[in-house]
Amino acid sequence: MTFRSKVFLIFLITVLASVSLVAYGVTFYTQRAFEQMDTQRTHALEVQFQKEFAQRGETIVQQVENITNADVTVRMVLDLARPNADASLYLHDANGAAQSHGLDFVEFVNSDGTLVSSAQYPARVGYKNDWVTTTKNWDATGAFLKREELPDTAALSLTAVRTQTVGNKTIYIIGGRRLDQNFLASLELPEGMRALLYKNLEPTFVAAALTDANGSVQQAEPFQSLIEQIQKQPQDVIKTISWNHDSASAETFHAMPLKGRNGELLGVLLLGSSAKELVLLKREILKIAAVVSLAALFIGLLLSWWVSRRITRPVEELANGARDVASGRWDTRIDVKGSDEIGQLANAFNEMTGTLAAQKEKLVQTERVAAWRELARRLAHELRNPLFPLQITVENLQRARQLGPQQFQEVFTEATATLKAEFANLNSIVTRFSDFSKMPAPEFSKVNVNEALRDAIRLFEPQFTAVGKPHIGTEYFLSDSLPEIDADSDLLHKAFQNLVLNAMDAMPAGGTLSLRSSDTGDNVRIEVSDTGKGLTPEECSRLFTPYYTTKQLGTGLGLAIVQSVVSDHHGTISVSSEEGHGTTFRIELPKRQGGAALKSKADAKAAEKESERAATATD
Amino acid sequence: MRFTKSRWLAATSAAVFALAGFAAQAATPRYGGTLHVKLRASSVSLDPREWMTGSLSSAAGEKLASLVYDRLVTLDDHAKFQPGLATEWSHDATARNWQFKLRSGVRFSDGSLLNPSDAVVSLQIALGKGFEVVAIENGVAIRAAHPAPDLLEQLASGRNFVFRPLPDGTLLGTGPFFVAESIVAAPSEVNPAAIKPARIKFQANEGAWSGRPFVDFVEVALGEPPLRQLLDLQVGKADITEIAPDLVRKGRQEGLRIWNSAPRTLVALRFDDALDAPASDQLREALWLALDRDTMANVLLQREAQPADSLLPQWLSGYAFLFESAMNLQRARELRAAFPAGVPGATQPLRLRVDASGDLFKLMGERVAVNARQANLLVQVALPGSVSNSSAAATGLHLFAWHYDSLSSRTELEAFVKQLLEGGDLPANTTDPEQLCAQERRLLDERRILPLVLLPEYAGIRANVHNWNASPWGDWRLADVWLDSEDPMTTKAPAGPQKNTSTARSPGARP
Amino acid sequence: MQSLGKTCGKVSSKNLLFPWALILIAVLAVICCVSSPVAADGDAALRETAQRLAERVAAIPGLHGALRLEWHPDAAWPGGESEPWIRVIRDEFERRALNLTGDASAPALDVFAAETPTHLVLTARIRVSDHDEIRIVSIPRASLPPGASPAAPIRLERQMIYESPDLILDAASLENNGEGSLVLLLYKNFELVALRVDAKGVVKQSVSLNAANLKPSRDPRAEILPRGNMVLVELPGKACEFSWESPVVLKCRAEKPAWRAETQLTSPCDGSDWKLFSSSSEPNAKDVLQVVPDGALRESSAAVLSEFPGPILNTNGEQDPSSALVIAQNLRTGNYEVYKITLACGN
Repeated sequence: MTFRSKVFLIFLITVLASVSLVAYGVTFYTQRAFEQMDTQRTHALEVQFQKEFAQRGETIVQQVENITNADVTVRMVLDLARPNADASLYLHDANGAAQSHGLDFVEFVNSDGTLVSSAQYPARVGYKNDWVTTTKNWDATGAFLKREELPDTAALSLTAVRTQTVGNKTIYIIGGRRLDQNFLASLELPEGMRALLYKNLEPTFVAAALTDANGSVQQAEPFQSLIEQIQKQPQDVIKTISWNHDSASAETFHAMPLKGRNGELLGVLLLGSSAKELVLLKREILKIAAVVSLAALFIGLLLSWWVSRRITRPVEELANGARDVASGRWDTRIDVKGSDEIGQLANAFNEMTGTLAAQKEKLVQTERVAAWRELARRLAHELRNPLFPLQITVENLQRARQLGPQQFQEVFTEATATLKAEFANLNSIVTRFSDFSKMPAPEFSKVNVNEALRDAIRLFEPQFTAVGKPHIGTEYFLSDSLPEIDADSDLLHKAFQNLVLNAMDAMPAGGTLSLRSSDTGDNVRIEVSDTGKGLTPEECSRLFTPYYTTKQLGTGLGLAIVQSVVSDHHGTISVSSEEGHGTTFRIELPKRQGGAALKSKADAKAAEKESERAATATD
Repeated sequence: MRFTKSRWLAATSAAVFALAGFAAQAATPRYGGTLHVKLRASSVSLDPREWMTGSLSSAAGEKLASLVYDRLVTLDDHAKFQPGLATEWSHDATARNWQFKLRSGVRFSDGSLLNPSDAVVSLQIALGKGFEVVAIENGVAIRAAHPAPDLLEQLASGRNFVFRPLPDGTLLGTGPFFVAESIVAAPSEVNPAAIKPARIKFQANEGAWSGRPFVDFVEVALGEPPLRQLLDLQVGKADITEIAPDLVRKGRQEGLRIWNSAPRTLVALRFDDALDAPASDQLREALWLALDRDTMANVLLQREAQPADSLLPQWLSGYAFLFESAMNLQRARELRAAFPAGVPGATQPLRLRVDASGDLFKLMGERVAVNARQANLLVQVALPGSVSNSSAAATGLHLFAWHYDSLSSRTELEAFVKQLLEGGDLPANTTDPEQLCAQERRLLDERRILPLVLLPEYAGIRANVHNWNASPWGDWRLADVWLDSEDPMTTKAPAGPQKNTSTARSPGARP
Repeated sequence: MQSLGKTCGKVSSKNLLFPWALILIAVLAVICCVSSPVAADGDAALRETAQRLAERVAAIPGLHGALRLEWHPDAAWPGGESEPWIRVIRDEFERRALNLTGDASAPALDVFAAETPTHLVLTARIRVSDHDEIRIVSIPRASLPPGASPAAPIRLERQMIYESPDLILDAASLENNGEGSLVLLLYKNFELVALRVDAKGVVKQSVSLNAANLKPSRDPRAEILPRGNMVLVELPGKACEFSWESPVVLKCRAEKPAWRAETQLTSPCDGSDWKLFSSSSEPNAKDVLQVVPDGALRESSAAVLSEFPGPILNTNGEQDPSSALVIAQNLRTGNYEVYKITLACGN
């Protein structure tokens, strides 16, 4: 991944992360705020309910007290106090009292608990209402919830009891109003909230007993588990009910048990708060966040691209410059303005390349001098070898003049033979040097590398198995699918021959010569391995230096030629060796040369001119 | 001043005289005016052939029918049968063959003469099977399949009127009134949501053989709600109204003049014949023992009813007091505890269908349910008109009202069995009270009918109405009633001869 | 309706009416009521009925030993009507060797007489071993001799206890009326006044109720209800209250009046309930107060009557359940009078 991509991604991720974080934060805090508000609203509604309940209870108490203190009631007490009083006279009084005082339920109960009159259940007249006689101080008791038995059903009633006493005769006046949807309708509910009332008058859940301000609730079944939970343990419970797959349909219900006088569970008030608002708000926030994210992404992309480009462009130029330098153009300069770190880096780079260029010149000069010195030394060494025998031979000839003609003839024949041989040797040395200096620029064509290797081996095969010479075995590990490469066939042959020669020289006692070729994608790899005594690391480092040789006899140009050929082919050569185990030369050549072919030709011409100049210089 | 015996008796005698005078007339009767009567029934049939024995609607019909039709005989308040359309009667020793001599010169309201065939046609239908009515010279002969010593009681009550059917379906009568106008119930012009009740206007029959009635018209409004009737009486919009038993106290508190008859309506429970539970006997017995009739009569009905222990009331049979039943809740619970599975009233409620409409019967039904619950019996009340009430198949029990319309115990008991106890054994044709008592006991012991209370009829009478002389068994005798002068509610009446007699009107007297 | 289950006890001969009274009443009955000639064999019918009953009873299997005849007449029968029946039944039973005794320990042979619209039904009931034996006979009432004079078994006593030229709307006894205190509500010159009067008729305290703002009326109506020291006055559309101790303070409140229901009396003879009825419809005529048994079928025959000197304006109960207060106007003097009426036993 490029630096620009990294910067781009980092910037983008930063932008996205920021937006996401903001969106998440907004959503989270909005939800929290919403929940807090919902809790407050629910609490306010609870308080309102309690207040309304209490107020209604007070109203009922007042109404019952009015009935209690009415003269008809007093008259009733007086009358019923008489012996053999006829209680049936008052059978319908409760109904009248209920209608005139706006109560749903009114009953008059005698001091012994016998029901005298009932507005809601006159058929029960004459039966005992023991629960009312067991409490002594009704007049100080407020309204309470009660289960009211009716002829065909039961109802929930907010009830108050008062007494009217004349002498030792007491009448209990019970009055109440239904707690039903009308009570719920009297509650002021904020938007999104509703109140339900479950009348717990049966031991099991009854769907029809759940009402809201409009009557029976249509879908009551989801409340069953909640109600049953409260029936088991009467305490506040909160539950969320989803009405369909849409989360906006969910409602959170806060259920409060409503208890009677003796703590029995008579009803459950459910305050429901719709999650719709919150869910829609969250969706809205997320939608906005998505839009913002997309916009941020887009802007981020642009910005990232621009920023990364601004940041990475100098770096790229630096990188390109470095590449140029690596490719040999040591005079590369980078045009980066600015005084920031990148600018400083660019200036440093330019200084470096300037220095490198200067150093390179010096190095080239030095190397050239060194190479000439080495060449001169080598030449001197090479030339000395045949010159000494020449000198001796000439001296022998001089001395042989003193000898007789026959002896002189023998000496003269030997001497001339030796002179010829040494003159041939000299010629060979000069030829090799001349060849090295006159290595032509490569001319690329399609070359089969495997064939070239086989050709190189074929040339030396007779020597591998010559009698009296150490046996050298050959192994071929050549890739059959190796494609043809752009190469100079002659130069390549020459290089391979030199490598083979080198390997033969490294196995004076015989051994095995291995040849490998393989396709490495853009390149082909050629490996020439021997099983000689191997090289030391120092030898490895100087191996390709011209005229460096480990052989006593040798110009040391073979591997230099190989390196030159490889270089001309824009390849690389390396050596790996282990003392006692052999050496492997590895060449990697590109399959295609392209424009480089032209460049190599120019380089080859330049190299040719250089060598001519060098040759002229030594002359 | 100390009262001596003689003075006391004299005073008493005077009081009796005064009372008799009071009962007969407080002043000189006045002719004219319109008597406004309000009845609870929303519709009424003046055709005795359409009346269903024992139904409350037939009671209203009978009241009004006696305005337009006559019977062969009537029963006075002193247990004496008085001549009606028949002037003389006799029977043989077996009391199976009766002869009645018809009053001569009697005309229907259209002027046509009454003849024996009219009596034959109407009475044959009324008496039904078991009697053969034939015309004889100047009268009719009635042959009974079985001895009928109570034939006169039958003829003096119920649907045993004499009328002549006309081709158009209407009936002609010889009574003191005839139907002048009949208006069906219709939406009110003022308030279309309200219904103006049906009205029947009876006009005085100038040529009535029993004497022209005192009032010129009797206007009867039907279908008035009970409370409205009471109010109308108070404000003078009605002269005579029926009063529901649960409003009697209120009426008396308002100072109204209220008359009551002997108990003429029995409110009872009847077990469904389809109820064939394995332990239905136990169920019936348990329910019977759980019912608190005394409270129903004395508390719920504010002593305007009597607890009923028998099928026939004491005033009709004379032996009803023998059927004393006591509530026994303990025993009822024991029976209930021994119910096998599947008996209605145990785990599944027994449905009580209230067959009579009105708050009173609803209250009775609810009280039955409450009583039953005390014995751990589940009873569910289904009111008239409710969906549950229409499903007879699910019903186990009915609360019904039976109206006694005959003066004959035997006829009444027979009607009971025919109407209410399908498949029950008809009582043997006897008028012997001991046998009737035994039969009644057998019927009661089956516990298929559980009597609850007996209700009298109540009527409110405005102060301007004089000579109210209704019989204890509910015959209003409106022809004997006359109205005060200058009542704005009365309409101008055709001038009639002024009467100046100190005696009560009697049948046969000509104005 | 009176239950026939009640035991009436033995009929005492002391309750027989004087023979001449019977004749007088019979004559009156003939004049007043239309009736067919009395059957000449009415007594025979009576005897024949008793005979039939006696025969049926005598035929009850297992009936041994002495029996105590218990007679239960119809609730509407006056005492005199029973006498001939008891005599004849006893006679016929004894003729059939049924041993009748007055011994309280002897098993009771209950004989019930009940009237239906047409018949008299006699029912005999006796416990034999573990069950009741019932025998019933009936006879058309028309064939029986006419009944005795409907002399009331109880009488009505009355005493005027207060008189005023001013309209008296209501009267009530005060508690502690051992002293005979009375509280009255007078309408005097279109003003309402409450009076507390002692046993001698002396006004002890007079309280003006003008503060009630009662509108002048031609037909004023008010009722008074003493309640210890407090007095409640029921007026049309309101109810007011004051105390004798601080009568100036009158507290009124709007309320639908709960007028008094009918006045009832309790008979000191048998504890039965009796109701007071008056026509109250003729302002210029004397009213007859009817005291009738509660639930009586035939009011006319059981009523106790008392004629007042003018229209009866109001009635009220008393502490004594057998007494009541009646307010009437005396047409002769024009004064308004308060009477105390009391049911007493006997003639």
